[in-house]
Amino acid sequence: MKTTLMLMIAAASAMSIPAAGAAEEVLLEGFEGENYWSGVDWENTGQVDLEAAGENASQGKRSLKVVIREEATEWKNKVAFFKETDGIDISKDSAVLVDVYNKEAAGIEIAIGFRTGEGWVYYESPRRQAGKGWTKDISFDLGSPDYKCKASDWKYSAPLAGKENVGEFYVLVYRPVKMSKDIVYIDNIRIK
Amino acid sequence: MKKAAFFAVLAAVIFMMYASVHAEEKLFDGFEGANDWDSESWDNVGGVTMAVSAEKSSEGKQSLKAVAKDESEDWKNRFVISREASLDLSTADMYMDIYTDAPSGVSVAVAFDTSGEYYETGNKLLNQGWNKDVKFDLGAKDFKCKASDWKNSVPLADRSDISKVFILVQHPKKMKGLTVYIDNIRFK
Repeated sequence: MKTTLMLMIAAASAMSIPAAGAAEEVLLEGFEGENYWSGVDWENTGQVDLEAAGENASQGKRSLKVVIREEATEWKNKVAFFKETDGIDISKDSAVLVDVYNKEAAGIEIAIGFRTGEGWVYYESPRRQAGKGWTKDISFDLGSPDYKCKASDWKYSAPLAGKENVGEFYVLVYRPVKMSKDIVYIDNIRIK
Repeated sequence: MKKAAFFAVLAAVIFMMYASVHAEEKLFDGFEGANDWDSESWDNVGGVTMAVSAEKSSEGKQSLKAVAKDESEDWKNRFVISREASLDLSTADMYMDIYTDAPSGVSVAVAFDTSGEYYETGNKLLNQGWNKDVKFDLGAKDFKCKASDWKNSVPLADRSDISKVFILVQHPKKMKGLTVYIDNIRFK
């Protein structure tokens, strides 16, 4: 009887303890408000038009419509765009998740980038494939050791440093050479 | 006998787990009375208006409504509020509930004056709606201060001698009229 009672108390106590370390998702961008995104002006990126669109949204009612205006060439095979993130701290987070809708063709790849730390050092993740139509929950591991940056000679061999102070967040769309115009929708960028 | 000892140990372990999760909680401000918070007017922060409000509360019946003034722009894209205190936070962490209508891009940090020095945490990103139990680990080693050259690389010093508590709310530069509701500020 006593044993049963103690077991019941133990079970009740255990049930009242919240799950420790459960990763909560925070929305970094859902494109529901004003558009704070800009294309980069790097020499090795193609030109792009960005607009908040009321179509192909996976979260809320709007997404970011990315209209790629140039044919991809050998050394200009990507477009990139970014928003300022005001020094957010992602050091306790494990991943970034992105939903992508690729309207025109398969073969594109998505990467994310950050400017972090005191010197706003740029880091870029490895690429992830996105097929035609929706590819949801594309995941980028914030703890992986395979980011690239100037210090790694642009090889995918460095951990993401400065995560406690992220000044800018980037999305990059890589395309096969000779792919002409394309339209991609980005939505539901989360950190968890 | 062995069974009784086993269950005694089990009960003790469960009690310790329970106690650690439900550590004593001290309410620093629930905004049920007058507003004790001031806005900071540093060069790099925008203006804010504050009022105790019954519109959104997560504890009691009132919260603090803080509205960013529209002239906040460029590098003044945050506001800072503060309250004088006399606290020993040697073993405590800070928690708060904060509500925002902004769809995304708003973040919050806290800071402390300890023995005359200012220490600030990193910025935690907020979801739209209620963000409850937003936790700031006061034992973390990534505070920034003048001595760290404003790099997030030092622990909070003199935690037993906190003389002022700050809350910093960052928002995208072009965002106008950001409104947040803050409530249930606790140390535990």
